[in-house]
Amino acid sequence: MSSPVVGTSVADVRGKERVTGTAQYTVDLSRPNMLFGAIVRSKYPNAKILRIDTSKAESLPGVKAVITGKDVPPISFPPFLSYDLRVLAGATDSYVRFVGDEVAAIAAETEEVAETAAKLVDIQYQPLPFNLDAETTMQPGAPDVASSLGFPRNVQSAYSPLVMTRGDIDAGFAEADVVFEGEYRVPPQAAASLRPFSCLAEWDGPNLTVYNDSQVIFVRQGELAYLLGIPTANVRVVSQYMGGGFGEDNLYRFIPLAAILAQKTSRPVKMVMPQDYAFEGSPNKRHAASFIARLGAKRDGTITAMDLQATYDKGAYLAGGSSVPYVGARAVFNGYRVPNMRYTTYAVFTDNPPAGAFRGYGGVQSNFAVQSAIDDLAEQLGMDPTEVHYLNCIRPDDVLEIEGEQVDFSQVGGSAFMEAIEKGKAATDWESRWSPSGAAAAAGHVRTGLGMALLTYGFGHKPDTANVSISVRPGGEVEVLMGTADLGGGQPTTISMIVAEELGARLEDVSVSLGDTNLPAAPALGSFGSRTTFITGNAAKLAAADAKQKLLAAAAGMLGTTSDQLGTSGSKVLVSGSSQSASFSQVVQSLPGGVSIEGSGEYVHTAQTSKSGFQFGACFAEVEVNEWTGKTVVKRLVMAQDYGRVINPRAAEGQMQGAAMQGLGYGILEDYSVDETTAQSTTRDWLYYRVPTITDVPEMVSIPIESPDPRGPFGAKGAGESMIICTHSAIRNAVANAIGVRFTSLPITPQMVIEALKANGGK
Amino acid sequence: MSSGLPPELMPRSIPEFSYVAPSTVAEAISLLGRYGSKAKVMAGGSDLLHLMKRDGMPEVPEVIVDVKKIAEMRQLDFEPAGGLSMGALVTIGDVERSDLIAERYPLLSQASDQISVPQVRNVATVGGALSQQVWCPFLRNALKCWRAGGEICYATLDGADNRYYHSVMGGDDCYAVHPSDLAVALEALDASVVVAGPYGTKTMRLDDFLPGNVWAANLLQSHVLSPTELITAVHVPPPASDTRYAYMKSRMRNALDFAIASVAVSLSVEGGVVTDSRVVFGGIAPSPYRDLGTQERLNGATISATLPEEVAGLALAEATPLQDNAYKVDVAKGLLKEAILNLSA
Repeated sequence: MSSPVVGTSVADVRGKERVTGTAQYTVDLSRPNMLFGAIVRSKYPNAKILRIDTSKAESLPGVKAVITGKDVPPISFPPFLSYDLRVLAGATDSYVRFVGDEVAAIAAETEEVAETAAKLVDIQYQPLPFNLDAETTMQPGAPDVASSLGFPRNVQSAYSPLVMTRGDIDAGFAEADVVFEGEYRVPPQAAASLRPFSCLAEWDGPNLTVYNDSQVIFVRQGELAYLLGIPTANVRVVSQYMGGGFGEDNLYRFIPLAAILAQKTSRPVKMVMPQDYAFEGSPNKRHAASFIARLGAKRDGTITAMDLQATYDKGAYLAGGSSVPYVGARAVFNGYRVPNMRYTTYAVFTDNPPAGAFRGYGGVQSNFAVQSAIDDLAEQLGMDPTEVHYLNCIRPDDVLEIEGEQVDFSQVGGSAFMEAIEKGKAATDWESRWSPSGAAAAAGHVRTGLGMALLTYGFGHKPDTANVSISVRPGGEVEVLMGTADLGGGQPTTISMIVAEELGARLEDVSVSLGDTNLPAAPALGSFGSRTTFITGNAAKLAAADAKQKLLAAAAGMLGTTSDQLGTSGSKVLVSGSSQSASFSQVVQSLPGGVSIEGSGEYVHTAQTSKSGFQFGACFAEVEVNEWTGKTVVKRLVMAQDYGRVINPRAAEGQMQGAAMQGLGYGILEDYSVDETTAQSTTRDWLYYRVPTITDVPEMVSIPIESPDPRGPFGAKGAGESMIICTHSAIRNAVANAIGVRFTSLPITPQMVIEALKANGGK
Repeated sequence: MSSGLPPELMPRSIPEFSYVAPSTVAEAISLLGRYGSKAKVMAGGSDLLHLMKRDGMPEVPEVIVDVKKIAEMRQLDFEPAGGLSMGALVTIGDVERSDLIAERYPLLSQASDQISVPQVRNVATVGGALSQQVWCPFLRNALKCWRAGGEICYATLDGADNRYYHSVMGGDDCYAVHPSDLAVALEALDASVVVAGPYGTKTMRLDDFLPGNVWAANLLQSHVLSPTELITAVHVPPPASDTRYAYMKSRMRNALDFAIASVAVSLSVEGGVVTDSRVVFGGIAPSPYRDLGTQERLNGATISATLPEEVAGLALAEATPLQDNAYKVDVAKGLLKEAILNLSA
């Protein structure tokens, strides 16, 4: 018998082509006769377009098309994604609303000609007052950003305010011995994918094909059909290799623009966005947010009331992620057994670029407020913060009200918080090293601190139905078809492993086809929100079980026995208690006219399951803060994380480490800056927008905690967001421990450290 | 002139220019004389190409004079009596990896090791380090300031983000700091610069070469080179005996970042007493900032546990920070303390 596949570390099945350069990313694609696109963007955060003159651009040799708002459909992106963003500014009114707002698009024979033509489009603007701050937007008399979009004020009506409650908040404060109140804020964050954003659009008669590294191929297909007014069946979207998939794949205007330009010129059009688009103008930075947190607690650390008010900056349009603030609220209720909770969210329009989906999706922001506030409360109570978390976190058999429904945690694998705290403390030697005033006894200007934060994330939000089909071919190959794309997080590997395990096939015999709406695979929402392992994985397991049962039935006839005497292993059917066997290949070839054995599986991810999948974890950070230079160095991260049963430990650890580094960047490095006078960003590239380099990566210790979800394939849970939810909070709390300064905003910069120490009368 | 690359491989957003690549200094000077301010000298290109891509120049150069083929500018020589001579084309990576330099001029090794990333160090040159444009985020993000043909310094406006790369020691219209680590270390080693021009060559002290803000052809620049001149080499005097060196740099991330502040310190010590010192700060002023007051306090001082605090506490009292960058003075003083502490051990 071969050893099990699930639970062993396996290299990514598509890793080789990536590292050897044979993988064709969207930006690598080329077509004979292809045109290049370019986009004209607004330099104003709020302005009226008075006049657009495209004549100079049009007369430039090599320019094949110039389009403006009047040339695009006067409708918004589909309501699922947005109900105010048009394909170009000026489609239904004459306003630009953020720096980077798309105003015109060009198709030309070369990239240079397209870019030169973009500079020749002459636009006259009437600049209007603008507002880049969400809180001032809510004040009376602020420039009325959204009124021209049809909203009552600057506050988005659908989600303002969104109120979620548990218990009786007033009673909770009434029984508290102490009340803590704090204000916290987090900045925007760019996903900073390595790829340039790009697409290639080509028409064949009435049929459109778009190549784009998309996490959501069927959503993209529906979006293009809707915007172009053509049947969905006429649109094909292909996404093979992602050059970054952190959720930022939403509401790209350049994709429908490429399709429109390709239609207009009857030639393929390739659009490659400049790198600075990832930092300015792209509609998918993490929402900046601010919070007021109030906690009521007993002297022993039991929290009796938790009240949060959140304000999320949506930017200029309700682009994508209208559910971001909602998920942020849920993440708080999914974390603590506090009996009385209230969470009030405002989502507010500003003249910033639209914010959207980004790994951690709302939870990263609210985590900072809650994890900072609990740490601050622990200090006020004179307690070790791990004890306060331990007392109040959800326990494995808790039954708690979340959004009016009773969630029985024992039925979803239990909460792993307590185990994560225990193991994290052991791995950091917390009991002997931690003290309220830092981790190291030694004096000196470099202070060491320990801090921790919990994370919870509801994976697989949004109901969906996943279908997977399997063919066992006459050569013994096992071909798997799925309706989502390879996000880059090892999805085809995970699905291959699940199929190999269930079917008893060798992993090397399994191949996965995905990422193409023309494959005969049923549509699915896509790869996001840590959902593929759980949802598609369940369908894959069912499909493999179906194929196995058919294989055994066929083998029974061939081997002269009954199915119940047969098993599978190593791509062979084995007879129980005998050395007799037949390879999958032999079994399939034995069938009359045998082409292949087919299996199919469908998994319905219901409204109920979509709201009851939970990741749990804890991040423990050890930092050094240099009181002379103000610099914070993260020395070590201990990450205890529950993914349920781990399918591929190597991939899970990769997710944990990558997520932690994005969290580290958010905590101390990534300092998105917009000039207040011009509203231009001065952090529009890799130099000034500081994502961590390899030299900033600390020692990372991963502690997998297996708290299997009985509903997941082999007990697996989603794994994608993980440590990004809380690493920044753990670092903040470790800095507080090191130097006694409880920062309320990010990133923690040398300026903040030095100024705070001076204000404290320090060195 | 077309580069001949297929369209999909063309670099983005770089306007057309013509390209010449002289093979001798004399030829380069003749070309620069011919094109004048229409030409720009390129060596590693890490500064110039960024400026051209990011619209950081008043107008793009019509001619690029690529000096990389000039063999006589690649030499790296050491004579015990004459000191170190580095051709302008010696790369930062060459300096970082040179055993000769590590042994005799550890300050240069320490500074080079903390510059940018290995990929940049392998193309960026000693000459480029001294003649580069400032890396002010406003200038490098296409805001037309004094150095790009405008009449404004965005860093001094109310509410401007001047936290990282602007002067705490005043400015002269422009408040950007000089970005070079190597220049700071070279200044602490009393280096001089060899400049070629239509007149032949001349040797200048580094602080005369790099005064900070110099008006030339209606634009501000950091150095005194005219468009017809070329930096060909840098000389460093022989190392003094019994001298210890430290280069300290603080930056947000540990690679690919400029200094919030840096300091180069050389300390000659005999019998526990400082006999000579040089202290030069980087990242805080429009040029490397030689702190003569601190040097005076150090010279003659006895090494002790309290010396770092005593000396650093009085340093940079003349600072005039902008709205949000006063902390840079504290960082600079902190680095000075660390440097003296390390050198006193």
